[in-house]
Amino acid sequence: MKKKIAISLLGTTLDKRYGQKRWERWRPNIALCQYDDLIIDRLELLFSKDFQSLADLIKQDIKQTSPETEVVFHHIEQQDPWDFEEVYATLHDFSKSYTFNPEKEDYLVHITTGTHVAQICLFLLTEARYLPAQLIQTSPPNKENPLPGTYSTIDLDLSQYDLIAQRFATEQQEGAHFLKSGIATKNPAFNKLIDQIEHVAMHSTAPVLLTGPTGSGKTQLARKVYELKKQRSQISGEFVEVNCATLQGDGAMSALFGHCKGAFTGALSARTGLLLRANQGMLFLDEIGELGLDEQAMLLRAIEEHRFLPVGSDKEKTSQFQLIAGTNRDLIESVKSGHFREDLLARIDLWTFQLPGIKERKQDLAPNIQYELEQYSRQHQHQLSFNKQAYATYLTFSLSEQAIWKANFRDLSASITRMGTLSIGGRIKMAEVNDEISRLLQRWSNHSITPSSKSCLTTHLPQDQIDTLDYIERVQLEAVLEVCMTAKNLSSASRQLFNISRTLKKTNNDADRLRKYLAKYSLSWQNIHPS
Amino acid sequence: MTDYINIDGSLGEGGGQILRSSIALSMITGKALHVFNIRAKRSKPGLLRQHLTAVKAAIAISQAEATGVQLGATEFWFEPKSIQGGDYFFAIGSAGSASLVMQTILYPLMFASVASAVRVEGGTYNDFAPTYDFLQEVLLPYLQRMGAKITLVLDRYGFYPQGGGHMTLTVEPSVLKPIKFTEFNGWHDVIAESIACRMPKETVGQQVKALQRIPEVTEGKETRLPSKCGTGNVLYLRLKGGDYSELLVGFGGARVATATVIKAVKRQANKLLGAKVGVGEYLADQLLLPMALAGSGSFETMQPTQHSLTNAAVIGQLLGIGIQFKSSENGLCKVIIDSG
Repeated sequence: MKKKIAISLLGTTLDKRYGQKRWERWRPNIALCQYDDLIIDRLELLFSKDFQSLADLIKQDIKQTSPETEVVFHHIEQQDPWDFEEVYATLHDFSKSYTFNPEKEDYLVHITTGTHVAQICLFLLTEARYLPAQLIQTSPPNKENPLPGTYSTIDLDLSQYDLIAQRFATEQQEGAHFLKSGIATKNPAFNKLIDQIEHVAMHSTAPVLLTGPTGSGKTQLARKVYELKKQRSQISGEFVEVNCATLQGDGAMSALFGHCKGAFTGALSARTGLLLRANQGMLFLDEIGELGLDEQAMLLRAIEEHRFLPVGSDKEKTSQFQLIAGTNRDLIESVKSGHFREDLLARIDLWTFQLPGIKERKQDLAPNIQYELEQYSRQHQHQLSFNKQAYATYLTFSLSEQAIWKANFRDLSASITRMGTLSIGGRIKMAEVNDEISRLLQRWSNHSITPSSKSCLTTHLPQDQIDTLDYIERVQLEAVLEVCMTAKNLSSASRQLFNISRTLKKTNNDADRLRKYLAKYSLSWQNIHPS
Repeated sequence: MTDYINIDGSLGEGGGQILRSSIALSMITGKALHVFNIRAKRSKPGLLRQHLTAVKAAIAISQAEATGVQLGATEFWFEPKSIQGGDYFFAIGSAGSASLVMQTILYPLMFASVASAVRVEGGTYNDFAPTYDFLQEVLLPYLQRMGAKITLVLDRYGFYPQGGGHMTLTVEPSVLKPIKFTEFNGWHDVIAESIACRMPKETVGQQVKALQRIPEVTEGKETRLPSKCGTGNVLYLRLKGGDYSELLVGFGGARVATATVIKAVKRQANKLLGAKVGVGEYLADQLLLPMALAGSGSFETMQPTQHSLTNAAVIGQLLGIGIQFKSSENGLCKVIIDSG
């Protein structure tokens, strides 16, 4: 039979009993050698020199109660038994210097004595197989189990531990499920991708690059990763997102890195900047390929050293943030053409995940339609659904070759939103579906992402402002402007626009809601009706 | 191929007694032994530490070849060679009972060609095992009367859990002869004694006083051991009458309620005194083996326990001897050992 070797720290509290009374007390290292169904052939007792006399007494008492046990002393240096790094290093050194002979000996690591820090370190070293052992935990006596009490062993290699590992797996699955916004996606490649992202996001703070066509869900995924990390307490700060395409010209630097008061003409007050706002949180830079070269240089330093210089300041700011970048451009091409820094690309594409468009994951259309219906229902506080025939028609169309889903999930979301708005009583019927199909085909045939009624938007907004708008925003703003242009007055327009939600409110101040909506785009009723 | 005698360790109460009896007889008869289902019905099945020490001691003394002897084993094979007398030392872990080891090797050593001195270190007062005093005052005198040349010396007491007790057993080659029991005429000395170490004075006094309320008790005694023996306590009722002697035991200690100890002794006393018999059930069990080795004999005792019946069956099987339990009208039982 293999010999049983226990590795144990001298318990400077629990083992420290003197006088005859010590025999009535539970001393873990004595108990360890006293069980009637366990014989420790050798006890490797670890302690610092200060406790030599206690160790001597323990050795003597073990000799008396367990003549089978040989006690071997190991001096370890310990300044602060609560210092994780020091304790780990000390125990790691011990494990390296100790000659294990697993052919002839079985090892038990006793985790009852020592500080909690030491116990954690012993666990980690055992789990990592630096200590090729099972864990043994001794427990004090009680009514049913008099001295020496009971013990239990834990083999981290065995099935018992698998159960715990399974719990981690479940948690991982929950994480992946969360990242998919709870959509039961069926596309295997996409599901695998999400699993990988979950793993990387949970185990790393390195930058992540999300690529993929427009509307493939980069922003939404970045936000979900942030929420998951926050849930698991890996991150405490804010989620700060910005589309780099909107950061053009002089304002870009100051928007990202902030400026101090008086940094330039018009800098009347200091500005924090997005990087500082993202401190301890997450920064999502969408369309990172659109960032100017100066900003790229500053950003690289901020990623590598967590330091940057606000505009006009000579004092560096620090910010720890996790970066997620998004792009639908081929950044390698941009590097070649000199529009993107090679070193920045190298830094951010350690983890690159390519999100597929709808056409590459058609199995996921049905669950995503369902998801969009739920989202709409939640936002508008009334249930939206298809009738059976309408759903079948819409789904068949959406899966067909005709449906090119140019802007991917953004198109799908807008499509459902439109049908929801036009439907009566929250029920989408054949009529709405047929109209929507022709509307979609019409849009896609234009081969331009800009909405058809370009004129409507361009008459009221400058082109560079339109370019910063998401498709979904354009669609909505366009519809709002159409209503406003035909309506007699602000109130009439707002009654049409907030037709459902106004009935749910006690007081109706829809005109104000519309005024505020327009103000977001620097528009007013007067702009639209200049007369 | 060796012919093994198979002993089912789960028979009867499935305790360590079967193990000790069968090993002792295997050594004496030279018959190879296969014990299986060891302690099968117990919560911790298989060989525990104290059993292992006993088996190892037997291996040492009989130069046996053994397979499967390890902690937790539920079966093993034991093939004794010749019994070697001489000096031995055995240390028992976890303050296990020194007397259990003694029980295993005592009889085989009588069959050695030279005298032996065996020092055993461990506990001298353990639950579920004969105490040093029982061996010294009750069992040994019976064996000596049967012709055994043995002595037992206590060097040091050892209470659980620290143990540290020492006993030395000397055995000279001897032949056991049948013993003749005279008729039992009642007990004339019945002494209550509490032996204690590091126990409250009141507890000890309380124990003795409680036993003195039994009408038959003639004397009370308090014995305090020096502090270095550890914390422990046994409560005895010693009985002597004619050729007969008995010792009833209750185990106390720091974690045992005084009332529990008193109750345990009183229960045994009521039974023994009520039966008006000279051999109690525990002693009866201990006498089976030496009397079977002597070849014949008989004595009167109480109704046999399951433990005794199992023990008798194992002894009968290994020695090819008949052990009968004959119930009589007064609720007693006559044990008759007969080689014929």
